[in-house]
Amino acid sequence: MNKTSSIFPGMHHHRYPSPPLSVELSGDAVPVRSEGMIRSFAEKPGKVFLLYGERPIFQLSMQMAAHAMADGNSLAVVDGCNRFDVHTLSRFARTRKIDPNKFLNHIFISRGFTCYQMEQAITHKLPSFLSTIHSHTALIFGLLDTFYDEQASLREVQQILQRLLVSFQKMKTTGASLLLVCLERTVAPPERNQLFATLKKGVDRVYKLDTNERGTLQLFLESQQTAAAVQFIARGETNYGTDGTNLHQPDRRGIVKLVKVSPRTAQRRSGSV
Amino acid sequence: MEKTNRQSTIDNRQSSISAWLFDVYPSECGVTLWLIGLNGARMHFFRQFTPYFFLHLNTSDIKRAIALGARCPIPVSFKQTTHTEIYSGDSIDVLQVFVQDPMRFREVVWYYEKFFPHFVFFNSDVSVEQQFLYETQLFPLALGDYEMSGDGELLSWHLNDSREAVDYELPPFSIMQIRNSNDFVPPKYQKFLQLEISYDNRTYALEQDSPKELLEALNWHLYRCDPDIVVSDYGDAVLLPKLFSLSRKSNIPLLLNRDTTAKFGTTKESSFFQYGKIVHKDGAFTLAGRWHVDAHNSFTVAEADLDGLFEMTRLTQMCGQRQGRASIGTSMSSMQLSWAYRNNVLIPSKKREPEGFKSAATLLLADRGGLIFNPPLGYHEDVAELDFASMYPSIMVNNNVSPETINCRCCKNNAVPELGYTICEKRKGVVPETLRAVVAKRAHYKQMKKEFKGKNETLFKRYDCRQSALKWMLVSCFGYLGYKNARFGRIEAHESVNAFSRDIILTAKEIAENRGYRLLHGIIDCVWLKKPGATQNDYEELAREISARVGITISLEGIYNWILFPASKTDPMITTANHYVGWYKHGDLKMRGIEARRRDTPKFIKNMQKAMLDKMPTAKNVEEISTLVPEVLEVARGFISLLQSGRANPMELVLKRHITHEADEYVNNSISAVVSKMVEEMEVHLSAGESIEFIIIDQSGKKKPEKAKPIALYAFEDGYDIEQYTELALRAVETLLLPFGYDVERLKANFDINQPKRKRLPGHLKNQELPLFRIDI
Repeated sequence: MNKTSSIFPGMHHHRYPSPPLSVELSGDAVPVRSEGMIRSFAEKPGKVFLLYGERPIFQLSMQMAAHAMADGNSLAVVDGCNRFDVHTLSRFARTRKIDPNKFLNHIFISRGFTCYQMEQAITHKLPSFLSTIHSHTALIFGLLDTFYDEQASLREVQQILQRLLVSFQKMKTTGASLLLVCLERTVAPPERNQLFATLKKGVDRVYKLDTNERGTLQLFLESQQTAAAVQFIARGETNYGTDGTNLHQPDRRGIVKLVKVSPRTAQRRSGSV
Repeated sequence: MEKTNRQSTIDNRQSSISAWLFDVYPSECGVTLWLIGLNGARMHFFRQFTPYFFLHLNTSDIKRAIALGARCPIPVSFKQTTHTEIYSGDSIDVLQVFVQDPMRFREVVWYYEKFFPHFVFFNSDVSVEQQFLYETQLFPLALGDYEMSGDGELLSWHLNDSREAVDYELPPFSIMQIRNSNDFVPPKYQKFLQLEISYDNRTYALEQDSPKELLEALNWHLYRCDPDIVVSDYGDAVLLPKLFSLSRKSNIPLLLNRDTTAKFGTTKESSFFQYGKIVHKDGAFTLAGRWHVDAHNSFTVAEADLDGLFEMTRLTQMCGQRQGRASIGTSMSSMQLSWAYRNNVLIPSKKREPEGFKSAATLLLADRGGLIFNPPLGYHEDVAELDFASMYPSIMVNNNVSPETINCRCCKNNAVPELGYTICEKRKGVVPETLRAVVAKRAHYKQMKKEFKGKNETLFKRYDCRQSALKWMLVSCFGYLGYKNARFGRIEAHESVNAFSRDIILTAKEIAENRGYRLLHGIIDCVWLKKPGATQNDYEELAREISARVGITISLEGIYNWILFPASKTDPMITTANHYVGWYKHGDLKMRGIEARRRDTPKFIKNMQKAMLDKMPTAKNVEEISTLVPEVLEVARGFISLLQSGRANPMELVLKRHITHEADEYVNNSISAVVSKMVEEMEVHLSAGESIEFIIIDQSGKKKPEKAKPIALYAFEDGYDIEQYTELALRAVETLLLPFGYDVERLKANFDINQPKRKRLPGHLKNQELPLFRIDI
C-alpha cells in the first residue's frame, strides 16, 4: 500500500483520495494542497520552509525539487539522515520522461554524519556552492538527526542550531530558498526535543504532513511567521567567539552582520540595536 | 633475570639506568613515569610537563581568550604560534593555551568551551599522558638509557629502541591473575564470589569468611608477587569494584596500586551502536604503576593475548591499560595523532569536514562497496582460492589515499578509477604514513610465524599473536576512514578505496580469464578460480602475473578437493556471498558463514556439522562426496536421535545473544525480552549490548510462558525444546546436503521425525538419576 502517492499531484492512489480543495481549519494548522506549497516554494527566491511529519515528506520534497529544477536549474541537498535515495530519484525522472542522467547531474549532494559536519556543510560550503552552480535552491534533509547524538553535548548542539538559524537568514538575504525536511520524532533525552521547537520558530513557514480525520495523508500549514519574528529568533550570537567554520578565511569579522528589524520589533527588544 | 626489590631508592646524585618505560600518568607537576630496569628494579620518576591546546581565533577573540585566562580558576599561560591545518595544508595562526596543572587540563578546556564554539579548538581532547608521549616520542615498553636527578626527576633519555622494531626485548614482567573460581557463569550473575589468585605457576584460593581476611590475604599476595600486570576475568565490571567497595566498607586499604599516593581510575560502562548493532562496554578500573588488564573487556587481549597487547602498546604509544581497553579505531587514531604532533599538524577537537558536494550521478557511482561475484550453487571440485594480501591497506599506502590527499586543491590527476577524484602528489597522507609500518610489521610477523611453525611453539605463538593484533588494525582501517567520528576520516577517501578495489579485482578477473580460468566466485579481495588440469604451479604463475599488474601481492591460499557454496536460507535457488566450506588438497578444512562457524549456533549443532564434514575429507571430487552421503546422513541421524531422546547435554544447547534494550524497555515477548527480564528479577542489571546465554525450553511459549531460561537459572529438569533444536539441527544438515536433494522436509522423513516432540525432559527420566553430562567449562 503506497500511502505516498495521494499527496503528489497527478499521482493519486485509488485508496487515498486527493487532498480536499476547500481549506479547512483544524486547530492552528491549515490544510493545504501540496501544489500550493510547491508553487510558493518555487515562486519567489529567499525563503526558509520546514516540512516535517510522516515518512513521505522525503518524496514530497523531491517533487518540490523537480519543480525547482523545471527550467534546467540545479539544486543542492545537504543530507543529515542518509535519506537521499538516488535510485528513487532516477525512477522519478524516468516516470516523468526526463533523461535520468541529465536530471541526476543537476542535483548535488553533501552528506553530514555529525552535527559538526552539518554545520560546516550548511554555513560554509552551501552558500558558496549554490553560487558555483548558479542556484538559489537547497534542500536540507534531517537537519536535527545528528543533533540527537548524545556524544555532542546539549549546550553545544543548541549553539550550533542557533548559528545555523543565523546562517539561514543570511542565505535568505542572498536570495536562497531553503527547504528543511525532517521526520517528526520524539527523542529519548527529553530536553533535546526543544531543538525542534527552536527550529520551527526560526523558519518562515512550517508545513506538516499528517494523517487527517479520514485516515489519509494531508499537508497542513502549521505556522507562518513574519520575517521580523524569524530574524528575532535567529538573532544568534554572531559575536560569540568566531562565527564561521571556514579556517581559510583569515578574519571573519566582516560576516558579523546586524539584521534589520522593524521599529516596532526593535522597541520590544530590550537593549535593542 | 633477578628482580630486585620494589621502588629503588635514589641517592642525591644524578644517575642513569637502562630500563623499559612501563607506565605514564599525569601528576600535579607533570607526569609520573614508571620504569622497569634491566636489573629488574621497578622505579618511578616525575617529569615536568605542561599540557596545552590550541585556539584558532581572530584578533579580537585572542584578546578575549587571554582576558578569560586571567579569570580562569586554573593558572594558564599563552603563546601565539603557527601550525598546519590538515585539509588545506595551510599554516594558520593559533593561540597555544598552556595548562599549569596537568591534573586539571580537562577543566580548562571545559572552561573555554563555555565561551568559544567547537570549531576553534584543536588538540583539546588529547589526554595529558598521550600528549607527553606524542610530544617526546617516547612509547611504553621502550628500552633506553634514562637519566634522572637525585630528587627523582627524569632529566633525559636515549632510546635504543623504535616503535617500528620487529625484534625487541620485553621486560621480565611479573604477572598475577585474579579470577572467580566458579566461571561456569559470569561473576555478575553470582552473589558470592570465590577469588583465585595465580602467579609463579601457583594458584591460591582466598579465604573469604570475613572481608578483613580476604583483603589482608589479597594484599599479602600483592606484596609477595608485586605484579607489573594484573590480569583478571571481569575485573573491570565486577571483581575490582567489589573488592574496592569491600575495602571502603571495612576500612582496610586495598593495595592494588603500586603508587600508593594515586587513586584508582574508574570510568562508566557504556552502550553504543557499532556496525548497526548495539554493543556494551564495561567501565574501566585502572591502577597506577601497574597495569590492570581485564581479559573480558579487552579486544586486543581476547584476540591476540598479552603478546598482541605489548605489540600494540609499543606501536600506538598508548599505555597498557588504555590500549587494553581501546577499540581498534582508537588505536589507529593514536598513531595518527602521534603523526600530527610530529608534523605540527593541528588536531581538530571534533570531526567536522563534511562530504564535498557531488552530483547524484557521481554519488550513484561512488556509494558502492567492493565487488562481489556470486558463486554457482553446490559442490565444485579442483577450485583454487587466491587472496590479495592486505588489499585495502595496501591500496591506501600505494595510492596515498588519505582524507587530506583526496580532492586536494593543488593537483588535478583524476587518479581514482571510475570516480575521477584527484589524489595529491605533493603531500604524503596521514593514513598511508601510519599504515605503512603496520603493513610491513605484519608481513614480517607472518613470515616469522611460518618459519617457526612446528619448530618453536613459543616463538610461533608470539609471532602469531603479534600479527593477529596488527591484522585487526589492517582489517578496520578502511572502515574507519568512513567512520563519522574518525579524527582523520573522510567519506571520499573511503569511496576511493572501494573504487580501487573494484578496479583491481576486475583486472585480476580479466587476466585469469585471458589465461583460460573461470572465475567461480569473488569477494572483494579474494577470487575462486577453476581450470581443468591446472596445477599449483599454474596458479602461482597466475598469481605472480596479477600481483605484478596491480601492484598488490596476491597469493595462492590453496586448491580445494571440493568446495560447497550452500544455498541461501531465504531463497534456495541462490547462494550467499562469503558462505562456503571445503577441504583443501593440503588437508585443511575451511569454512565461512555456515552453522559450524557461526557464533549464534549451539555447540551441539556445531559439533554435528563438524562431525559430518569430518566424514568428507577423503573425497577427491563431487562424485566421491555423493557416495559418502549415506555415511554423512548416519552421523546426523546419531546427533538428531540424541536430541530427540531428550538426553543431549543442555550445556551444549546454550544460545548466546546480545540484547538490544534494557529489560524494562522491551515491548514484545521475544526470547531476549523474556530472558533479560528473568535476569533482572535476579537483581542483575544488564545494559543494552550485553550478552545473555540461555537454553530454549519452549520457543512457542504455549506450554511454558518463560520460553527460555538463562543458564544461571537453568536446572536440568527444565529440559529443552526438542522441536526447536531439531529444526536448527535439520537446517544445519540441509546446508551440507541440499545439493543432493536433502531439504528439511526430506530429512524429516528420512529421520522419521514428523511427529511433534515433547518440550520437556522425557517422563521416564524424571524419576531416574539424571543422565551424566560432561560439562566443558
